[in-house]
Amino acid sequence: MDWLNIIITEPWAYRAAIAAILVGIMCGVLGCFVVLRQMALIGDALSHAVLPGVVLAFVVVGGYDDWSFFVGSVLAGLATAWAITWIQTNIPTKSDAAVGIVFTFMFAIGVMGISWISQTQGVHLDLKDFLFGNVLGVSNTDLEIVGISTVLIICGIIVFYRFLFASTFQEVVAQTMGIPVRYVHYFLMLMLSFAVVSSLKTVGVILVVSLLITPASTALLLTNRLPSVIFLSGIIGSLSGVVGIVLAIVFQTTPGPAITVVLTIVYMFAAVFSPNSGFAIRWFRKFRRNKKTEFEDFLKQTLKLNENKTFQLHKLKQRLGFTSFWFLFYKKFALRRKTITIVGDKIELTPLGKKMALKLVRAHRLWETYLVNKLGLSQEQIHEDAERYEHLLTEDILDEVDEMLGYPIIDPHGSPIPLKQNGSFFTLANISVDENALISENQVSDYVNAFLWKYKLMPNSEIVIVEKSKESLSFKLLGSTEIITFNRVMAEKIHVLKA
Amino acid sequence: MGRESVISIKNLSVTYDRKKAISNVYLEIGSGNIVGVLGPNGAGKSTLFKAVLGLIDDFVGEVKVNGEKASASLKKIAYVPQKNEVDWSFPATVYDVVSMGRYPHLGLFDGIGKKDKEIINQAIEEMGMSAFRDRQIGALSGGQQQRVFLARALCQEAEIILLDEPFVGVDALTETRIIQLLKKLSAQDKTILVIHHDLSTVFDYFEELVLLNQRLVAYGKTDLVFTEDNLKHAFGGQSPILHKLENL
Repeated sequence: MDWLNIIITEPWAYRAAIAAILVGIMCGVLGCFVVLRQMALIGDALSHAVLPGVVLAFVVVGGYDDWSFFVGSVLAGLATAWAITWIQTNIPTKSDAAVGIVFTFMFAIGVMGISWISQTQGVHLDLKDFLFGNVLGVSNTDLEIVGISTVLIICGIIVFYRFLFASTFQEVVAQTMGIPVRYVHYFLMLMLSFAVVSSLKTVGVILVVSLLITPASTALLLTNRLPSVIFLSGIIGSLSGVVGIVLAIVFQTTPGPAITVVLTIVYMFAAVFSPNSGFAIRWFRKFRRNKKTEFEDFLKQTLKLNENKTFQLHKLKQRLGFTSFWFLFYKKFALRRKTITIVGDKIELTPLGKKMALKLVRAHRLWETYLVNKLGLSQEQIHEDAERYEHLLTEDILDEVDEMLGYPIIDPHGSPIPLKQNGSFFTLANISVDENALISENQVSDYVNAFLWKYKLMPNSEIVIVEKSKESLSFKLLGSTEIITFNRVMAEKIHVLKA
Repeated sequence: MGRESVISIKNLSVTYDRKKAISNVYLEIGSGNIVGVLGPNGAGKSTLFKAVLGLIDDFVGEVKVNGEKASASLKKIAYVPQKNEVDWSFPATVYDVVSMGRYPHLGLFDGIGKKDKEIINQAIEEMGMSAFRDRQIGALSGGQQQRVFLARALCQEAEIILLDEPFVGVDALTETRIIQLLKKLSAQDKTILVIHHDLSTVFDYFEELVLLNQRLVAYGKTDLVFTEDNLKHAFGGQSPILHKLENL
């Protein structure tokens, strides 16, 4: 733990670490607005404008002084922001091009100025320190500057949060509410200059922009309310900052690149593991959907076999074409869910399993009917689509489709469409002897309605079952003595509610 | 009308880059009206809105809201922009957006107080959005998104509400609900201006119409203004929308 020792005992090291924490906070916090206002390039521009500011301060003051550098750089930053806006409004140049023109020019002047100072003024200024930061270079004055900037920025955001939020979310609306959006813009530019100049020693000119945009972008992946985005971004910025400094000390490299690498790794982690939109969760959802589909296919094929009076397990495996591992998996899963029973090589669906399988068949055949009747597709085109949608369509959608199609009884291939399997629906055939039931208002077809009408069975009239057999079912209206007998097939078509 | 005019525009002309956006427009809009603003693309509908909102510095003529200059009565005007002008991925909840309506009422260093919170929650409630109070705005349906902005207008206690094509990308049921809400607001004496495209619903929705094609083509009661002649002037004879009109 050499580095820990260094950070605790060496003044230059703990100064650098403190600076990195503060710089991380302020850049992270401000960066949220930079990202949401799509000003990443402007952030980059302001940071590059620091260099001519340093030169200007040197020329005016005639020597090396941290505070004059700070003031000079902030002025240069504001001049850059103003110049960019001026070009954007007065010259027909595209706005991002305007940013590029101004900041490369400022940077060029700065680079030339600094080499001029080092060569002719007898002061050693290392361009590399300005570009990438220098852990050894954080003085006590620098720490003061960083501290004051951090406090100013945090207070500024708290006090003007309302203005910043409104003008960032909807600039025009904010303007109609009397919020001085132009001043808000320049206020943000001023804060941004503070942040960028303060970060100079820690990350350097080139990579400040990563402290501005990467933590904010990371936070935006993880949460969706502005105050928590700001808070989280500050935390990510400061932690990455201090980890970066440690890495820079351990590997004896410049701190800027180390911090940027840490920030980017954190960002990539968020992109993969974000709970709402991360790759991992999306992959997992897709995986789960696939497995659900395969399990449902397992039940459906078992139903088909059972209907053909076939019960051999190995036939099912053959038909599904799953690998042995997954076949075994689904078999065990189905047993645990009590959807199948297995005796030796004989597999059979339980009533629950049958219900689940029929639900799929209903979805499949209803969807095929929908595609043919409503969308006018031909019979050859529909099967594959239905194979996919049978797993995706919810009960609600299916009921709607069912209603829209007028409760069809057979699908385009001539196969019967199973009735809805659960919910408040029962058919007359589901009711046992001596049980009461109400005739439902929703019947599957006009034919059934007419049929009921003939027997004076109005919606909501209550009936009681008298006798049931394999072929027929007898019942009477409550309060009547006349016994009505329907055959089984008809009884299965009539919807009732249990009384 | 007979009621005093809330928005008074006299001889308004606006020019962008030496191109006239609107010229010589006169309007006197009374309070409590629902006014449809119709015209082809580039007719200056948005420019008219901007002028009323006080967003245009450089114009000729006079725009007065409640007898004052437009920029002096900002509190009283709420603006609901077009849906596609909004960043729906922005990290803000329904509550956050509606609370913006209180901003014009707050002093520079005021926070949102207890009373403001009550007003915000009441506005959310009135638009039937209480169940979605803490939902991110991008996770709402099109109709709910419009209701968020109407709630903000309510919360702003605005007397004038300007809506820019509120029915684009909204299903028929929601459209009916929104227009009912607008009618309710107009019954509370709010003045509502709506930029609109669908000619088939004009009669049901608006008491008054503004037909605009850089110049003011016609303004007045819907049944007087909505004539084939006026529409030809506004849209030009070859407009496909006119075919729809023949089927009415």
